[in-house]
Amino acid sequence: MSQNYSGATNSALENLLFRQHLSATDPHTSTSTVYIQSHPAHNLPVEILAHILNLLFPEAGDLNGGRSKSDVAEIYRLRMVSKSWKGLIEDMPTLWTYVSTAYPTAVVRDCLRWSKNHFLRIKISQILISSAEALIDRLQILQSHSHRWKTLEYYSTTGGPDVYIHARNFLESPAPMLQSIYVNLSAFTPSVRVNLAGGGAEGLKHLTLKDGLLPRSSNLLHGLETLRILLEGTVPAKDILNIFFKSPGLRCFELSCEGAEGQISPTALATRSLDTVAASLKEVIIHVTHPQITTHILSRISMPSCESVELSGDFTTLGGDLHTLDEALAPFRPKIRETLSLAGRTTLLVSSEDEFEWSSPLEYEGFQFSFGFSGTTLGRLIEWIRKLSATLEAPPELAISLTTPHRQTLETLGEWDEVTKLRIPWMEDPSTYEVDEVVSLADFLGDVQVDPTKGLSWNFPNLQELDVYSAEYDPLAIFGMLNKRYLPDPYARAMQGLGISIQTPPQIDLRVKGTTEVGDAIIMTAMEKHWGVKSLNQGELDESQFADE
Amino acid sequence: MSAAPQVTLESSDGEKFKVDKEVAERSVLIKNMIEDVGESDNPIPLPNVNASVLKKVLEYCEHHRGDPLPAADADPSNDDNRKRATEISDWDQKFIQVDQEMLFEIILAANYMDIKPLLDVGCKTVANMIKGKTPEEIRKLFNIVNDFTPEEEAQIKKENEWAEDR
Repeated sequence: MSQNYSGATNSALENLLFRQHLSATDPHTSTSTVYIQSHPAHNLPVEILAHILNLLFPEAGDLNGGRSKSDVAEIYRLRMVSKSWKGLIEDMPTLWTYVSTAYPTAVVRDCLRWSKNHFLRIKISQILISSAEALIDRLQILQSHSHRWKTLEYYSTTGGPDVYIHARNFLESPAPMLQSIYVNLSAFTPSVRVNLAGGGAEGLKHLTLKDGLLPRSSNLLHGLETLRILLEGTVPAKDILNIFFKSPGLRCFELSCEGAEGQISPTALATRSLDTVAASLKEVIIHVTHPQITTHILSRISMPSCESVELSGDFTTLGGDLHTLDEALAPFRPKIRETLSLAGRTTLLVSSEDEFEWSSPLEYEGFQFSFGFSGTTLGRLIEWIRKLSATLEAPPELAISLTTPHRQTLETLGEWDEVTKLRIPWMEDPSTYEVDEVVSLADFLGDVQVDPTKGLSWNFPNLQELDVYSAEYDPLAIFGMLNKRYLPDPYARAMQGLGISIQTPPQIDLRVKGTTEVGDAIIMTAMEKHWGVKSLNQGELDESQFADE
Repeated sequence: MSAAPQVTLESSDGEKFKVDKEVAERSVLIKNMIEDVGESDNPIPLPNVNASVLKKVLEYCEHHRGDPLPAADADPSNDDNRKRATEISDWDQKFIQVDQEMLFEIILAANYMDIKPLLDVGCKTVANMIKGKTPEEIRKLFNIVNDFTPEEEAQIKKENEWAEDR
C-alpha cells in the first residue's frame, strides 16, 4: 500500500520545478518546507501559491480558449510583487504556453523561454501589430518552435509578398505534435494548396479550414475527428468524398459553402451506391446554397452512428423540390421518426415567407435534427413533415417561432392542428410589405371561421401557448383578440342551443410584456381574469424555455 | 440500525474530535492512514492542525460528506473547468468568509490533510482577492515586502512597460 501523505497540491508540476529552482539557487532551502519568505505569518508554501496562480490563469484550452493580451499583462505585472513571486511565475511553464502575435516581440520571446519544453498554443493575428516587419519577426520566432505547437489559430494576414511568403513558410513548418488547427487562408489569392504542418501532423484531431483549397494529404487527414470547411465558393465534389475515405475516425463534419463543382452522380440516389462508411461520424453540419452536394454526401456516405444532422440550403435548385432531399435522408428517417415520437414536439422557425427551419427540441437528448429551407413553400414543407410523422400514433406538437406577419404564412400555419405554441420573438415592420400581404396577428387569432359543417372555429385551433413578450405586442390588441377568440359561456351555450357548432380553442398560456402605465396594468389584470386565459406571464423567460417546456 | 462507524481525530493542541468515518475520509490523508493502520480506537493525530482550524475543516467535510470525490485527472484546460476556475458555490462562499489568518490556516490544513475541494475553495478565494490588483495592492494585502533593489525594480518596470500601456 502506498503511503501518500504529502498534500493535495503535490502532483503539481510547478511544485517540483520550483523546488528544484530554489534548491539550485539556495542550497540551504529544505525541499519539504519551502515557504514564500515575505508572506505574513501564514507560511504559504510555494506550491499553494502556484496553485492559486493556476486558478487565476488556467492553462488555455483548445482553439478559441486562449489568453488575452490583458491576461498576459496581468501575469507580467504580478512578477513585480516580490523576487519570490517573480521567480515562481517565471518558473511556471503553464502560464506561458499560449503565445499570440498580439504580444510584443520581447514578450513572445519570454513566453517561449519560460514555457520551457511544454507544448504551445499559438495564435496568429494581425490585430495590434504595427508593421509587416513586426509580424514577420514574430512568425519567424514562433516558427523555430514548431516542434512544440499543439494548437494553431491562424487568422488572415495581409501585407504584400513578404508577408505572403513568410506566412506560407510558417504554415508549412513541420509541426508533428499539432492537435488542432484553425486556419484562414483568404489572404492566399489565387488559392494555393498550403501544405499545413509540413503535411505531417499525425496527431491532428481538429481542423477548421476557412477559404482555402481542401487538404489532400493522408497524413494530415488520417487521424481527424473534427473537420470544418468554411468557404465562400464551391468545393470539388470528389475532394469532399475523398475526405471521408482518408479520415476514417471523423466524428464531426461541417461544410459551409456555396455548393459543389464537378460531377455529382445523378444515379447515386437511385442506386444508393455507397462509397464508404463513416463509422464514427456523430455530427453532420452542411450549410450550402445549392444543396446538391448535401444529397450527394448523404447518399454516398453511410453514417450509421450519426446522432445529429444540421442541414440548410436553397431548395429551388434541388430537382424535385424536397423529394430529392427526402430520398437522401432515407437512412435517417427511422431516427427522425423516433425523435418525433419520443420528444412529441418539434420547432419551426419561420423567418420570412420562404425561409424556414424545422428542428428537434433543444433539450431532447436523442437524435437531433435541424433542417433549414429556403426556396420551398411552407405548404410543401408541412406536407413533408406530415408525411414523416404519418405512421406515428400521435402527431407531434409544433412550436412556431414567427417573425413575419405575412398573410399567406399565417393562413397556412393557422390551419395546422399540430401547432400548440406560437412565439413572436420580434415582429418585422409591416410597412415593408404591401398592405394586403400582411395581417395583424391579434386580428388573425381572433378571426372567426364559419364552416357549414364545422360551425364556428378559429385559426390555430389547438394553440395552447402564445408568447409575444419579446415582440412587445400591444396588450390591448391581445385583450381584444381574447374577446373575439373565446366567446362568453352563456353566449356559446345559447348558440349551441340553436344547433350551431362551436370549436372553442383550448385555454391559453399567455406571455405578454406589460408596462408601468396605469392603462396597461388594468388590461393585464383583465387579461389574467379572462376565461380564455389559463395563465398570464409578464416576466422574463429563459430563451429556450418556450420550446422546451 | 447500527450507528455509522466513527473515528477520533486529535488536533495539534490536544483536542479530540469524534466524527463519522465517512466525514473524516473526505481527507485523503486520513483515508490512507485508516487503510494502512486499520480500524483502531486510538485517536488519529493531526500535528499540523490546531483545534479551531480542524473544527472549521470538519464543518466543511460534514457539509460535503455525500459529494462525489474530485476526479484526479480533471483537465484544467477544458473550457468548462476554465470557466469554473474561480467560481465558488454559495455555501462555500459563506463558509470561507473568515479573517485572512484563518483563511490561510484552512488552506494549509486542506493541503496537509489532502482535501482538494477545500483547498480549491481557499485558493479560489485568494485568487479572487488578487484578481485585478496592482503589485503594490497585493503587497499591502498580504503584507509582502518589496525586496527588489532599485536597479532590479527599474529593470522589471521597463520590462513591464507594455503591460501598463494596455
